[in-house]
Amino acid sequence: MDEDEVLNAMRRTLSDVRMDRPVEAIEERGRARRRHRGVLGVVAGGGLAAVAALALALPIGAGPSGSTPTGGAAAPAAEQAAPAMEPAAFSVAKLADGSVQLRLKSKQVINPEALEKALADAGVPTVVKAGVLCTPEGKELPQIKDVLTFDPIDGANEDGVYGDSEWVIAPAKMPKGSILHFSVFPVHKGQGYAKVAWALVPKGAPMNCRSVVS
Amino acid sequence: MRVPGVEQERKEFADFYQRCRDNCLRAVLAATGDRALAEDLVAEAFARAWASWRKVSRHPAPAAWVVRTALNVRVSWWRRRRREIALDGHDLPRLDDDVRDVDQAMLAAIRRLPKRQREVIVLRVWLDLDTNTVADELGISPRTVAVHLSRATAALRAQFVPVTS
Repeated sequence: MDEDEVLNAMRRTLSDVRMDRPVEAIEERGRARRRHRGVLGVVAGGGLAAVAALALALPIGAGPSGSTPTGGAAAPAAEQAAPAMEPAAFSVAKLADGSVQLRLKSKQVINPEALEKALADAGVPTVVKAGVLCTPEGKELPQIKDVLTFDPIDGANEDGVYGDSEWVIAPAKMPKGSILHFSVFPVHKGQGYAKVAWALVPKGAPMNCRSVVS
Repeated sequence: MRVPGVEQERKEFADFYQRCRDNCLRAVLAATGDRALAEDLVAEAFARAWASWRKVSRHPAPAAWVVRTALNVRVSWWRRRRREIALDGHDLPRLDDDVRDVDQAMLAAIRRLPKRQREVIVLRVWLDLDTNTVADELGISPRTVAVHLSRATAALRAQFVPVTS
């Protein structure tokens, strides 16, 4: 076989592979990224501009001290945004498209009850287990790919710390009777919560929870 | 009410997606060897292309931009699929792998190639870019592209047996 024959053979091998995702789904995700980028870009700048930019989202709560409900829909944008500006281990905000943004800060102590309540207030049925890693005993619900996206946040946060994480959750796409199960847990003795794991499962589904501390 | 310019951009992007999506998927699949992962990566890369369409549409080879972006977001998707991350942002080793319905031997052979050879093969074969465009995309000379292509095809030749009927 000469070089062209090899290349043609390679093309033929994958010729049946097709990308069938609708362009509408791609555009929707692209628009979400555009909105998200706008919010993050201004937050990084800090100050008053950040407060205005965060009016794009409706903060539901912030931890670890618990949820901080917003005012009504007519409340001024800056007032609505203010709770998300507080130093916290996590923040939960409802976005304009109905999805819910959860951010966990790196190297901060998470209050599991406050996180669970903040997500519930945002319309996301959630269980948060602390101290143990939980995985479903059965199969995870396949809708997880539509319900939740996860992205590590590039760069340092406003405290100069790297490693923050962000989830965007679509409660409307959660199957009826399902919950998101988060577990935050240490991996070394005497250490705080070093990792987080998550799964979409039917409410009450048996979970295998165990300590992974070494 | 939509602005006509925005509608025009949407149409351009939709045409681009329709025209290039299959080949971008094949290119990323060849590089990753994992069908489900490749689909997610390409979908994410196209979404990023749409989010920055004014910039990407002016790129000399927008499909190459998509493929390279898809391969660059790979680590994030691994984390997402694994459903478990370290809160200090450090990545973890991958635990699972998907069943594939394509020629695994060929994909494995491509993944065994050195990175540059693999990039040249992917851009040359599935995006049908000419040598000069591949060179521009990778920031190397056309001569170096030719050398990588020659070495890669020599390594892959053993994977194919000509069939005569």
